[in-house]
Amino acid sequence: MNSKKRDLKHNYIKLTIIFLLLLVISVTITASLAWFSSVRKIQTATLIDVPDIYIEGPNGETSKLLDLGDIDVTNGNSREYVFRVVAERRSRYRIQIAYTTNMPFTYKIYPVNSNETGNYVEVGGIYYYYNEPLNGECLNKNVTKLLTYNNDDNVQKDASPQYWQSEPVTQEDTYYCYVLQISWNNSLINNKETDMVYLTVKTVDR
Amino acid sequence: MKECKTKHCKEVMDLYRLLRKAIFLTLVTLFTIVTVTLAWFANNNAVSGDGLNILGSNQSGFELVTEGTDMDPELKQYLTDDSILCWKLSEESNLNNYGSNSDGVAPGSSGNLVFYVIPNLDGSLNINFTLDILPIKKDESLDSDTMTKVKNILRGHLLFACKYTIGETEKRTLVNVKDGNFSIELPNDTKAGQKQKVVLEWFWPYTVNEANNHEVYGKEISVLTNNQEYSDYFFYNKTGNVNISSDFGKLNFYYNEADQMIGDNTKAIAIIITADLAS
Repeated sequence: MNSKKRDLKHNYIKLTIIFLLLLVISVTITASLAWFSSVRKIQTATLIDVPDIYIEGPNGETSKLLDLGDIDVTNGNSREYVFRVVAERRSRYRIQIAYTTNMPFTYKIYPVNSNETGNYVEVGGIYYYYNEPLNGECLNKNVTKLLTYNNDDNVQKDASPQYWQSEPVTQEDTYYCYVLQISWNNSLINNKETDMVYLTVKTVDR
Repeated sequence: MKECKTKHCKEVMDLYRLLRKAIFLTLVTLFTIVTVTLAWFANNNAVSGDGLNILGSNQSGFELVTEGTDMDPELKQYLTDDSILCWKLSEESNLNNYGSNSDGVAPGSSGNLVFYVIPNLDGSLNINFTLDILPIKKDESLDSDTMTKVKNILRGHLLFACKYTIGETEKRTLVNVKDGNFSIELPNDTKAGQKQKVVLEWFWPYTVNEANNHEVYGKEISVLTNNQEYSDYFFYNKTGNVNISSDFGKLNFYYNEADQMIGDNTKAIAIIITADLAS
């Protein structure tokens, strides 16, 4: 009986020793694997600030190029084009026009109003009524050197654009239509001239 | 197991059984230890304090350190891997991702992301970095094809360059647009613990023209924007392929369409830097 107990005891001791040895070895190996890793990482995140204001044709047509076409100055005193601004509700923005002055045109922007009085322009069967133009001013009235072209010295006066900016406008709805009116006085005659007009809309911080 | 006839055989069998038990016990204990200490192994945010964020120390290689402010906690939802150290940034980062000003980045913006490399040993050190820009979907129903397109466009539109100074020399290189790789080399006289500042300049050009005319990297970028192989990184055509030899007006239109792709499909981006010793 005694020898059996002794054997058992010996067995347990052997077991413990072997177990501890194995444990030490395996923990060392595992721990040092972490030590040997030289990969380091850092991360950050940010939002993409998407513009939330657009200009479209009066019925949602994409208008990268507003088709002004040819203007026959013997035919009336003005031409009107309708566009609409799409923005988040209660957005505040300014409308800007940049135009070259080869032809002595006057550019005005009228907000379309819902009460059907006053002047109107018809596009695709829909009548857009307008009254008072937006107030605004030419930003480069008193500026001598413009940054439009890299070297302004060789630029012909009329190719240097005028930059007109409206007062800030608050738009209640998602869509709002405007009329761009290009007008001239009667003394003008047809001339082969070209002008470029850029229409932009820019949100204003409150 | 067949019965043992000799005493020698018995002893071997006993030892064998002992060994089996020992191994089994070891495995169980090892599993317990690793599970309990997994946090230590996987957690790279080991030590922080005084606005510094330092990783656990190591006997070889280097550490990455960032200084500044934590980002807006609302943005944490856009980080997929919690175990990666969060980059503390300052205002010059212009990422607009902390405090009350977290409205993000847009075309036309630029900034500087700063981090520091601290070598653990004296001597020269070459580190390879990979920059990943991960778009986070606006709309979960987007297909992976679109996401690949957006990822490529982000690489070409959100341009990064690595800038660091060794002594009197300033080194600046554009981060590879295709794979986001860049590297730094610290010379032989670098001391352990010496903080090396690395600046990642980023910019998002409004137009191709602006990209091609960048003060420092314009030339390099022009080569890329004129290479048909890189067309997926800069341009996007809804109706088909982009031919790099199209007229400039068209290319600019495609560049804008690419920007629109980003805006339409991305809500936020995660920027991850992975650094490893150059072999």
